[in-house]
Parts: sequence; structure tokens; C-alpha cells
Amino acid sequence: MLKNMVSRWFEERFDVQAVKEPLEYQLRKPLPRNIGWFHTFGSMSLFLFVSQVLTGILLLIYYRPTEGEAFESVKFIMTQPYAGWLFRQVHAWGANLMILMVTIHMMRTYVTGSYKKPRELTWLIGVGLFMMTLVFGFTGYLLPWNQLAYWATTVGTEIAGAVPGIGEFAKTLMRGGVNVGGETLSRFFVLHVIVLPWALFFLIGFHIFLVRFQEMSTLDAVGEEKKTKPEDGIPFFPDHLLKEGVVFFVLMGVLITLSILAPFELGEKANPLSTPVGIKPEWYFMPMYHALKYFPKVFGVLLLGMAPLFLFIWPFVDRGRNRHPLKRPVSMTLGIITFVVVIFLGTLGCLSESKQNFFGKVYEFDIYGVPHQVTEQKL
Amino acid sequence: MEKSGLKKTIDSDKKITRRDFLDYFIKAGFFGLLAGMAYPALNYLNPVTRQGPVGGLADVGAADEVPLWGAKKYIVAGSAIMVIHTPQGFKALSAICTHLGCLVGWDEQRHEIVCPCHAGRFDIEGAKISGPPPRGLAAYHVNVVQGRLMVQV
Amino acid sequence: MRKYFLTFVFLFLACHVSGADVPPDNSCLTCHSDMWDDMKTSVHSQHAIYCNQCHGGDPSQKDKDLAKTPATGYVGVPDKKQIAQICGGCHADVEKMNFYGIPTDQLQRYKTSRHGKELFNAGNNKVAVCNDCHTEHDVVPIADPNSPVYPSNVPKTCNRCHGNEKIMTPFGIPTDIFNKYKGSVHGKALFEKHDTGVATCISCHGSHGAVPPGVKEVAAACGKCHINEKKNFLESPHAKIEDAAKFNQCISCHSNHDIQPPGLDMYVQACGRCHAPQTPEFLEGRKIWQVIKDAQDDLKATQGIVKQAGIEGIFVEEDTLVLEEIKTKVFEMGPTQHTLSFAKVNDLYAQAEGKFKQVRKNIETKRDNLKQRKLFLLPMWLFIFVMAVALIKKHKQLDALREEGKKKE
Repeated sequence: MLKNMVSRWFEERFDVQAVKEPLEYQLRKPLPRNIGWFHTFGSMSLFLFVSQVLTGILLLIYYRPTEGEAFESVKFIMTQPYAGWLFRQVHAWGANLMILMVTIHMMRTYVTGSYKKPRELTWLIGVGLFMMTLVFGFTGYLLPWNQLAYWATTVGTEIAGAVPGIGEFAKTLMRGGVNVGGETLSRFFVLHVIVLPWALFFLIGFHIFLVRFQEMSTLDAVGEEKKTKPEDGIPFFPDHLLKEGVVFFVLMGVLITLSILAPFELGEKANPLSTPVGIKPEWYFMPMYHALKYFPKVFGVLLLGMAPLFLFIWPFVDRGRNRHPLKRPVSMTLGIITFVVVIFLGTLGCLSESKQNFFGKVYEFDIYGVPHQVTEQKL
Repeated sequence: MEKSGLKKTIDSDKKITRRDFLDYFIKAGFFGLLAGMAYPALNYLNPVTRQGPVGGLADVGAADEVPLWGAKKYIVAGSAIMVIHTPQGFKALSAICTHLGCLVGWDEQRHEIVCPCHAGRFDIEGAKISGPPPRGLAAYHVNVVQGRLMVQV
Repeated sequence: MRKYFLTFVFLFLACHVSGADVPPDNSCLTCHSDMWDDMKTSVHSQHAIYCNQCHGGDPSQKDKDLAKTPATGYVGVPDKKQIAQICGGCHADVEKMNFYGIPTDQLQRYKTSRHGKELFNAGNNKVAVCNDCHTEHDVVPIADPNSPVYPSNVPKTCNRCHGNEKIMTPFGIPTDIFNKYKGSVHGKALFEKHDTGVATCISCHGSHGAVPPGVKEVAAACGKCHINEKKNFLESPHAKIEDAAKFNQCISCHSNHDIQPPGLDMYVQACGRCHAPQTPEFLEGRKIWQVIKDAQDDLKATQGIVKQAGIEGIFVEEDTLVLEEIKTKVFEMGPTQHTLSFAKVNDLYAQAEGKFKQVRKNIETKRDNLKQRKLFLLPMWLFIFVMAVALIKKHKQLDALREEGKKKE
């Protein structure tokens, strides 16, 4: 009754049918048969982005981005308001999972060769989104203003300072001064809550528009793609969305479970006068951070600066027509090697400068991640 | 996103299939989830304490909690302060002795602040009178706003 | 250019304020202009007290001999005794000093000091007199940080003589006092923390009336600052011992010049010096030692617990305040143990112990509450499982429907 009244009100004023039809078409558009669970990583990233925005808004209610109050306000959020701790933990874990999901999504795209013609632009935007997600992580990490955050940011911006020519300028620009301080906090805050969210929002919109507009990629080679017929495909709605729903529930469960079982500590308030031992970046910067140790500073920074560039130009380098991973031995070998190297560097980075126990023997890992067995001293 | 999509399921499914139990169940599940998310969020927005995160002006308590020529200790921004009520108004001083960090007390007879550990004495302005403390106690600005003690941190 | 000009103006003004008030007819300066360089910034010249006030003579005479005739009361270079008298001429005169608000008992006190007694009674010239500490021509007020008797300069000033073996040997006074003081808790506070309120030489020995405190006065000297310790010490059985060879109040345990921050170790080191192990007194001391140690260990452990809880993000604000109260109680045990009363020390421990338990229990309760969050996971996953099953079922249903539709076609 009410529904009819509302729809009539709109129909009298707008050409509802003209809008409704393309929407309905997009909604019911058949997806190729090969679209399955592996194709949900992108929407998982999207879900995590939405979750980050919502929890971020809630955190902003009590957060204060000043040197004197940032730590105290995060402490307040974690201890005083109802479920404040949950929102902070979900936000922190959400950030980590988002980076993980975006990475896996990118790897899936690489394996299925979906970045090839005509979808190079989608890939480019995707790489941009990946970079921005990392910057999101970097800027957000400083905001609780605890010791780890403060010193990780000091080290991180120091690395940027090693870029020849513009390095010193970039470092000062990021820090808003000579050292990490209240000015840095303001800058990172503005990036984290205003600039990046909106930039990401529009880029995601464009990314999804391209995905829908150009149809989903199949494993058919470039130029041999066939348009999916309605009777062959799976409708996006409701069929595929039901799968997404399952994934959404599981992801939410994982997020909350991690928040409860492995919460992030509040830590100690940032103290520019005392450097804690063993400052390490978050896991997603670890491979890069560790790789830097092996090279002279300038060379290392330049070399690693090439990595994003390489991702950007990849669709224009790999011009083979095949999409199926088994028909692309060179691309796949390269991809697997990169993956193994990144995982290896990351693991070494995590282990470096620590003591670990393997099979009852204690090993001490030096700064380069080389293990040295420690002979146990009996007292 | 899921929610609006679901509504359409129900609408369009009317024509295609029977409204079966499963549809109702899924619909209820999503609404339940939404309510489960909204509830803590709304509760979070509802201020649980009269006091927000510390910084700037901190509301430490009611002015009438401190009798004339009396004193009361509060924790503000992680450190203890003492509010003294004098006929000239309220005074707020750090309650941490500058000697070894003991909590100072209020000597009502002599109208002085005294540290129980090593008998350091301070006047009501926080200046050192006698004993081993090297400095006086830091003073904070305190105002009474609508019967509440507001301390500038 | 501008900078030079400003410097010039500043110099000019500086000269004008402090040094230009020379009486135009002061003939002393014809020969002794170098003395004036020292003298012109002194507190005396600023109050128009010039050469002849101390040295006699007549500065209005142009002729050197006429200016120094006996009739002018010419002194020349005064000897030590004369110095004390000359300074005292004004500084012991209430009428003259009244205006400046300076005490006038310095000469009287000086005569009671070891320095003064040696000089006036024994006629020993190798002692300190006014100018040895205050300097002569460039005397500045004692509140001026450049003054040799400003608190942070006192130890060095005394050490000019007391660190000199040649001067001290005849008196049989050791010369390592300054070095001992420098390493002491007082010396560190003075030189490293720049705490000018801390005890220097003169706080215990006096300045003008400098004498080492006698046996009975030790507690009084230390007690000037250490009020609680003195009060408690006077209650202890040790306070009644009058034989300095047996027990010398504070000094017996704390030593004097190289006094260190007191710690529990003192019980181990000091008691055994007089009391044989297993004597009742020694055992009583052990009991006090034990209870203080327990309190300190508990404090440290509890502080660690609260800090860790804070790092984890548990609300510890109230516990921090209680912890401060406990810390105060534990610190109070230090002054209190000077009574050597186990009951009193133990009473403080009992008060602290109650609060220790309170804080630990609070933190434990809070951590337990956090664990209860885990209980939420079970219904949550149950819900997720049910929803996932429902969604997959629906998916299969739709699949089957579609197949059916295809077949019909």
C-alpha cells in the first residue's frame, strides 16, 4: 500500500523505468561459469573497505589527532565507551586483512591473466588501489601515537629520505619538520581520514564500473572471448551474491575472532627520547624493509622503487594472448619466483634480530636474518 | 548492499518461487545481523562517562566534594593532582612530591601540603617551605563551571 | 653594521651604569687602576664604597705621600685580623646594615668558628677570613650565581683550602672531602641536577661559625632537612648512646661526606659492624630488613602488573592512583625504620599489603572480564554457520530451479 504510493510518487516525477532497466540488467547479468569462490577476493576487499569506513567513523568520534591527546584518546576508546575496544580492534585487524585480501585479489588476477587486453586500465587502477591501501596502513599505524607507531614511522620516513635528490625534501614534507612529531600526526591524519578514503572511494567506483562494463574475464585467450549467454551463465543476482554472502559472513567472523583472540596492544605512549629495541615495520612492509638491508641505501631504495613501476607496466610487457596459467609458463614462473622471494624476505625480516627455538635448539638471527646457533649455557 | 539486494530477492521471488521458509530465514538473519551491528555502535555513541578523553580542560569532579579548607586528590591524565578549597577559591597542584614522587597530603591545621615520606612541606601555592624536595609543586589552572571543577591539563 | 652599533651602545650603557660613578678626584686610581677593574662591578662600588673605606688614606690628595700619611688612617694591605675587623666595621654595625637587610652577626659568629678561634686566640694566620671566601675587590651579593658562596660554588670555594694538603696537614684535616662530597647523593643533586636547595658544606658545618657538629648535634644538623628521619631516630634505642666511639648518630650508618642514597644493603653492611650475627638485636634488624624488602618487591611486582595491563589496553587509571598511595607507604617505611621498631614498619607494610591485594585483584578481575569476550565467539560462529548453510542451500535451490527451467525449454 505505502510502497505503491511511494513508487507512484516517483513515477509521476521521474522516468523510473529508464533507470530501472539498466540496473536490473546489471543486477541479473549472467556471469561466466568459471566465476566461483576465487572471484570473491575483490568483493572481500570492498567489504573490508566499507568496514574500515564504518569503524573509522566510529573511532573518529573520540579520537583526537594531537601529540598530547592522541594516545590518551585511543586509550579512552579502548577502555571507556561501550564496545570501543571492539571497533578499534576490528579497524586494526580490518586494515591487515584488507591489505592481505587486496594482495590475494591481485595475485588471482595475475594467475588468471585477467589484466590482459582489454582490461589493462582495470589492472592499473587496481595497482593504484593496492599502493594506496599500503599508504593507508602506513598513515593509520602512526595515529595511536604509541612507541611502536612513533618509531616505525621514524624509520619509514627515514627510508624515504634516502631517495637521491628529492629524498630530504620528501622526508621533511612527510614529517612536517625535522623529526616525527605533532605536525607529522596532523599530516598523516589528514591523509588517512580525508584524502585517501575519498580517493579510494572514487577509484574503487571506477574499478568496479570497468569490471561490470567490460564483463568478467574468462580463461579464453585475448580476442577469443565469447559473450556469456544468459542460459549458460550464473546470474550475478541472486546466485553469485549468495556466495558472496557466505564469504561475507565468514570474513566477519574471522575479523571479530581475531579482534577478540589476538587483540592489538595499546602500548606505551610515544617517547621521542627513548628508542625501544627491535623496531620493525608491519608485516606488509617487512619484505621491502628486509630487502633494503642487503643493498647500499640509495641503490636499495631505487631498486625497490622500481617494484611498483614494474607492476604498473606489466600488462604492456606481457602481451601474450593466452590467459590460462598453464599456457603462460614464463609469466607463471616469474610470478612464483617473486612470490617465493617476497615470502622468504618477509620471513627473514620477521626472524631477524630475534631468538627462535627450532627442534629444541636455540638460534639467534642477526640483522640480515642469518641464523647462528646458540650453545646453551648451563648455569 | 546485501540488505537492499535481499529485499529485491523477496519481491521478485514472489513471482518465481513460493515464499518458502528459507527466504524468511535468510531475511531475518540479515536483519538480525544489522541490528547486532547497530546496537553496539549506538551504545558507543552514548557517552558512558561525563568525561571525554583527557586533554585540555578536564572535568575532575563536583566542586562541593571539596569542603572549605579541605583537599581532594584526583587522577588527571595519568598523574595525581590535589584540589584545595581556600576562601579565595580553588587551587589545583600536582600531588606528586618533587623529591621522590610520593603522594603528598593536606595538613588541615597548618594549611600546608606535607609529604608523608620525608616531611617535605609546601605552601598552598605549591612553593617549597622546608624539607628535601628540590622544587615546588606544579600548579594547574582550575575553574568552577556550573558546579564542576575544571582543571586545565 | 647595525650589530656593531648596538654592541657599542650596550657597552656604553653598561659602563655608564656600573663603572662610571668614580669620584673624579679619587687619586688612588692614578696608580691602582687595575684594582678598579675588579672593583667597579662589585656590590660595594655600586653603593659608593671605595678604596679608602677599607684601606684608609685620603683619595683627595694628589700627592702619593700626602695621601698615605698616618693621619689619614692609611692601612695599605691589611693582615688577616685587620680584614675581619675592617669588614666587621660595617657588617657588624646594625645601624649601617639595617638599610640593606643584611644580618650583622657574621663577625660574632666568625669568632666562635674554628677559623676565628685559630686567628684570634692562637694567632694562626693560615686560616680563612672574610675575603678567602667572599673575595675582596669584586664582592658580589651571595644570591648572584657568580658569587663564590652561591650554593653551587660553596664546595669548590671551601675546597680551595680544604683540598690543599699543605694547608691542611698541620691541622690534621683530610683533603679528600670535596671528592667524597662530589660523589655523594648531595653532591650529585647539586652538580648534576643543579638543585641549589641541597645540603652543601655550610648546611651542616655552618658558614661564618664553621665548626664540625659534635656527637649530639649530628642528628640536629641532618634533621634540619631530614625532619621525619630525625624525629624517628630520636625514638630509637640508638639515640641514647652518648659514646661517639661506639655510635655517632646518622654518621655511623650513612657516613658523612660521601653519603649515598640509602638502600636495603645498609642493613647488611651497617648492623654487622657492631652487632654480632644471631644476637637478638641483629635478628630484630633482619626482621625489619625482611619486611621492607617484601614491601619493595611487592611494589615492583605490582607496578609491573599494572604497567603490563595498561600496555594491553586495560583501564588502569584507578589502580594507578592506588599504586601511588602504596608507593608512598613503601617510601614511608624508610624514614620510619629509623625508630628501629618492627611494629611500626610492619604496620605500614600491613597497610600497603591490603592495597597490593586490592590492585592485583582488580587487574585480575578486569582481565577475566576480557576473557569473557571469548564466550561471545561461540554464538557468533553458530549464527555464521547457520547463515552460511542457509545461503548455500538457497544457492543450490536456485541452481536446481534453473536446470529445471532449461529442461522445460
